Amino acid sequence: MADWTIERLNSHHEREAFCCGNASLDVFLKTLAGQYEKRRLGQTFVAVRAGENAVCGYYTSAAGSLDLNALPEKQKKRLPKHPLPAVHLGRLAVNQCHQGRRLGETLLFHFLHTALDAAKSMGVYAVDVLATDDKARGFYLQYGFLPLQDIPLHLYLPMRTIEQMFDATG
Amino acid sequence: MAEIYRTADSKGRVALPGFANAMLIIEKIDDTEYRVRRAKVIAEKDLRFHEEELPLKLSARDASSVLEAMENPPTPNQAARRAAKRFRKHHG
Repeated sequence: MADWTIERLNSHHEREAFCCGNASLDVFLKTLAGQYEKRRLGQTFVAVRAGENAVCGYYTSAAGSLDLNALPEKQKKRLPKHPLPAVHLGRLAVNQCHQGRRLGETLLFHFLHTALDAAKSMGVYAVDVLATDDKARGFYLQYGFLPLQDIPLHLYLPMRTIEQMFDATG
Repeated sequence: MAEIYRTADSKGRVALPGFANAMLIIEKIDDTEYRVRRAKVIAEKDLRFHEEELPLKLSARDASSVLEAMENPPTPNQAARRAAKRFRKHHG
């Protein structure tokens, strides 16, 4: 795990050889991640080996929200009228030749730690993610993410839970 | 995985059974090792991006469970605590 360095995506990173087994995640890194950065639509962090530029894994995050409008009026009284603020994990992928070495976990916890930092200076209720498939869903479930019942691939984790995770280790 | 042996010709060309007329991805591992994979070509219009499904409107029962988790957030499980500890140790 100590082999990885996680840093903001920049033009020096080599992305062409990246292949995680999911074409849309590969295409995003190679063709769209830079545009998302420039237009401030998403922030991409990449994992590289020390002294190298080849991307071994990445994740992209953005501001998001959870819309609780469907709640009955009685319950809604306890909530603000706007959607609940969240940090959205847009994508997380690991190059096939580095899979099975806890790099996905490292990227996920870098994201959670970054989201927790952001929540110290602005209101953030939770992080959320839309898993690509059941395997990815299982990955998030093992760390305690809560799945929605009607959109099973949509999972979230309250910021107070994340705070406890890192408090316990600090 | 079965190993096969081929001799490259004078221009470095090698015939690969099962890869005829295919788009290939050739990845250099090091000076003596290459990985060859058959590329799957997908039309750009067929690529599915998450954003196309957002924003997701939560159903009443999902909104209710989110509200419940807001008032009583779950304690982190053991796997999450251990992973956070590993992360802190190496990247904290």
